[in-house]
Amino acid sequence: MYKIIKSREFAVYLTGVIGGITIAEYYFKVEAISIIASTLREWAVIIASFTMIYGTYYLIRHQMKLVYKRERGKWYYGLIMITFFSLMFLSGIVGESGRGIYSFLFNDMLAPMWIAVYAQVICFTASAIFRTFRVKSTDSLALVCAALIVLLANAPIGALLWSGIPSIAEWVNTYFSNAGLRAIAIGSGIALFVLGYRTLMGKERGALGGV
Amino acid sequence: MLEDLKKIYKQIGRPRFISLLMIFFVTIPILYPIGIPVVIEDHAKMAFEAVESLPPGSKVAVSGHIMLALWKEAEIGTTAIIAHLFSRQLKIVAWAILPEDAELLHGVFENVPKQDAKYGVDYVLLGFVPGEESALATIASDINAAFDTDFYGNPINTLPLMSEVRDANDFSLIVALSHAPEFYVRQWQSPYNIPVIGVSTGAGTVSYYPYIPQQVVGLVGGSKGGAGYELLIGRPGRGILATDVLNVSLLFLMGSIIAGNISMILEKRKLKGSERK
Repeated sequence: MYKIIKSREFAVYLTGVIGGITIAEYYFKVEAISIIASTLREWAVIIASFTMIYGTYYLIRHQMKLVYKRERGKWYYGLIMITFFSLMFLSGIVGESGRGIYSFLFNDMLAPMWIAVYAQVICFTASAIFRTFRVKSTDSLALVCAALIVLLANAPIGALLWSGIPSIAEWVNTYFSNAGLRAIAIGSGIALFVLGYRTLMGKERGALGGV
Repeated sequence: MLEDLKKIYKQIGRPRFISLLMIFFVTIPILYPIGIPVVIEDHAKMAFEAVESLPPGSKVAVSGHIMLALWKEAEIGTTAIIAHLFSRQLKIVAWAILPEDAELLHGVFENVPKQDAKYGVDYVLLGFVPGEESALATIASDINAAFDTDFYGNPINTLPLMSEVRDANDFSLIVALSHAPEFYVRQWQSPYNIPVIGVSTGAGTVSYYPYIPQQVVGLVGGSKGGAGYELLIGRPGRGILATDVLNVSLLFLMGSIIAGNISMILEKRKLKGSERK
């Protein structure tokens, strides 16, 4: 029994059956298929919860290894990470949602720090723009012009400087940007369909984790 | 003053000097708001009209799917839209498919004027459900299968509003706080024909354009879209301040492009001059 469950064929057949039921539910309004598909979706949410627990376990395990081995230049970061993880975890378990110590740690420590780290990207962007957006050829001229138009269009002041800027930006978005994005969306949809077909037919090994 | 700047530039190097200049210029409108007029975007107007067209008592879903790092920009549009939903006496069922969004949505509901709306009767915050797109699919087919309790631990069968909603067919609109509109188009708009309004950061608006106006009926993009929406609902707030900062930062970036090209021309001239010598 164990050999059957561990075999690649079992994983392939299971994937095919579950995928087939989910697809059938979309096209055929049959009560039994809807009930089974609905149950499978609930199981997907439960499995997703377990992947979070699994991911957290591996993260803590990795950091504890760094601390235990006193890896030079890294072990104190691991210690900080484990300390604050434990603090947030315990405050979430013991405290109430939306108030108390957990809310304080989340809203007044975690959120501002996370936002500040992300916000500093603009400083690197400004420096990179100074160095890279230089007109050295026709292509780079087109790039610089496009960048200036997009920046002016996104700045609320652009529309006030010249009323034609929103129209130009709208034209670029509608006829260039949208066309390209829609083509990419259709292409990725077809690729997703092919990948799904290959996965359900058992031809794609990556989804099975190398089984 | 110029000599001091040159000294600082030589000491700290160009990248840090530009960063310092950026921080200096961005701080000015925060301390002294300029009040540059805001032009309301067409997509924000479309979102406003979509909410206005719903009769009072209609149920609207709000799905939180924005990373914490991007929240401050998306919060402007989120707060404005939720305030608008309350002012139109629409019923709201909110949830999060990223862990941090549950707490963030709680903060929005705490601070937004609710026009006598009662928790459990007129609005509910359900909390986080893992799985992203599969969670959306589960909620769309049976909301009770995804949630046993709300964000505050109340069993959902004790909340009167939850007895009125079972699946996506009970909703008139879904507000997606997200950079991935394709999830909502695939799981809500396409199978159940529920119109989608997007709320995202400025950079995330591009992902919505292919779906406007058929699948996504409106978009509140970034602080600019949020500020426009605030003006539409008559509640100017943080969005107006944010557009001042946005103006200054984008003008600074444009200045960086122009300054970079001037610097390149001057360097070339200097090189030619030294070659002639």
